Amino acid sequence: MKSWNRLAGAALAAAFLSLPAAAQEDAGAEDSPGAYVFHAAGCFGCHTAKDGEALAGGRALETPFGIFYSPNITPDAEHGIGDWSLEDFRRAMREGVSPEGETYYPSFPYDNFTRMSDADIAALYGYLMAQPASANAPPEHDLSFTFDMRSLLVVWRWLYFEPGPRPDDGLDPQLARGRYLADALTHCGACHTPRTALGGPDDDLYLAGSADGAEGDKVPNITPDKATGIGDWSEGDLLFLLKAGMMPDGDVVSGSMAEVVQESTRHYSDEDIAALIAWLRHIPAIDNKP
Amino acid sequence: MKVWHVAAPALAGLLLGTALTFAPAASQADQDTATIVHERQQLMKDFGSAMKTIGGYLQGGMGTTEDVAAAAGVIADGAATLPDHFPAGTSMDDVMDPKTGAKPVIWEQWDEFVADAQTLQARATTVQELAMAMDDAALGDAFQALGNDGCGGCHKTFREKLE
Ligand code: HEC
Ligand code: HEC
Ligand code: HEC
Repeated sequence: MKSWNRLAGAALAAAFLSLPAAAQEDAGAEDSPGAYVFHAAGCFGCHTAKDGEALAGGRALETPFGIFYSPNITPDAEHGIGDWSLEDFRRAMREGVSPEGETYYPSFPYDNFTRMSDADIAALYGYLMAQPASANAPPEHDLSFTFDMRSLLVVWRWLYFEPGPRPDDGLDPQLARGRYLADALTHCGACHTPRTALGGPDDDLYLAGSADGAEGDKVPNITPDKATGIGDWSEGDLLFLLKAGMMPDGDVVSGSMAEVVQESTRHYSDEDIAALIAWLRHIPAIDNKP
Repeated sequence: MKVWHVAAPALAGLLLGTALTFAPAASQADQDTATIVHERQQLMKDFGSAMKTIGGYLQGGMGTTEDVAAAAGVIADGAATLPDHFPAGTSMDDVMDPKTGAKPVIWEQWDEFVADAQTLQARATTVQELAMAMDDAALGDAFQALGNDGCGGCHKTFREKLE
């Protein structure tokens, strides 16, 4: 009881505290700031195939536009990103462009990661470069013909892509941190915000649920709407969901959300859990049943 | 609702004047399948209630460590027989009525499914032991592991959430 009460108490009451400054010597350690960003952003799951080497790519991501195979992001110079500079990496995360100038598909959620701070991008780079290299070469993407054209991405980007971190918009620091976790790192909206026909997020329905999320999952509305969202969940309910995956009725989440909890939110600090919950409480309630 | 589903074929039989004994063997099998699905969903619902009991204790101090130990025991015991509730031919592609959320991949990766049930048993046993030892300080982490590795580990790959 103590540890969870303490957790709940501290998490819910504490004001946002920034992470301790980077311990420069060991960027690859599991308690480094880079590891924290890495977990929160869920890089592992998308870039690791079932029974495959960590971060060596090849996980098949099924989307309405075809099958994407994630690339190898280990520090292997030939098959991974071993010869990338920090600037190359920053450009990929912030602008969605490869060192060769090729535009990435948004199946790599860089429309979220673009909001990451320079410090977090640098910490993440340090962490990735300290992981074991793998020479795995994942297959090419297998896309339906209309989308199999990187040139179409120009249109998508023009319509939907707004690079760079957001201004704080006068939010208090805890809410700004909560928004950062939801949007820049754990990209809740990549699944919980529905997409328009052109594949961009429908901002008017921010986190209001989606009928066709990743891998065909139906994704619930998580705005504070009482009827269709999670307006009647207590803060304790949200804490238990984010830490243990448990819903108020005792059921435990499935599919991609189980992965999000296991890989990302359960590793959040108490302050970050509190910040994310505050943000989920703050956003507009939207009546939408996906 | 459910009663009506079960009763519907029988009623139809009466209305059409056909004797129920004409029911082909398949309908016997359907019934067995329906029972299997209902029973395993009940097992899962019992897991859910048990989780709620443990969560209630951790969150709001409801109940006692004995309640927590008993609830964890329900999960550990259920986990031991869990795979028996999933005979081949009962996936969501095989059984339409009642609806089931058992993904066909269960039978493609059967060893992993069984291993996930064993993980659940181990995590639940840990919670049970900590509760019996009244080790409140360690219970929170053990509960997190139970939800994530125990239930979520299997649900991530093998379960489709039903409406
Ligand atoms: C939802 C799945 C998903 C997540 C989460 C994800 N990625 Fe990716 N990533 C992809 C896909 C798919 C591509 C390939 C995009 C393309 O080919 O246009 C990609 C491409 C990349 C590339 C370019 C690699 C190259 O060889 O050009 C890098 C670098 C990268 N991701 C790093 C990351 C990091 C770091 C994280 C965590 C912060 C992350 N990714 C999270 C799916 C994902
Ligand atoms: C990769 C896709 C994905 C991402 C990213 C994601 N979710 Fe989910 N989420 C889902 C799916 C699918 C479900 C439904 C799972 C289930 O019910 O078993 C869900 C369920 C939930 C629920 C339960 C809601 C209910 O009514 O049952 C909450 C709360 C939630 N997510 C919050 C979040 C938050 C907060 C984030 C970001 C920190 C997030 N999710 C990121 C896919 C995702
Ligand atoms: C080894 C795999 C496995 C484990 C471990 C597991 N489940 Fe499940 N669970 C499933 C599958 C598969 C279904 C879908 C069953 C069906 O619909 O026939 C399911 C369904 C459910 C349901 C919905 C039942 C219904 O009425 O439709 C609940 C609630 C549930 N699980 C809770 C839990 C909880 C809580 C735990 C942990 C204490 C857990 N499960 C552990 C595989 C598992």
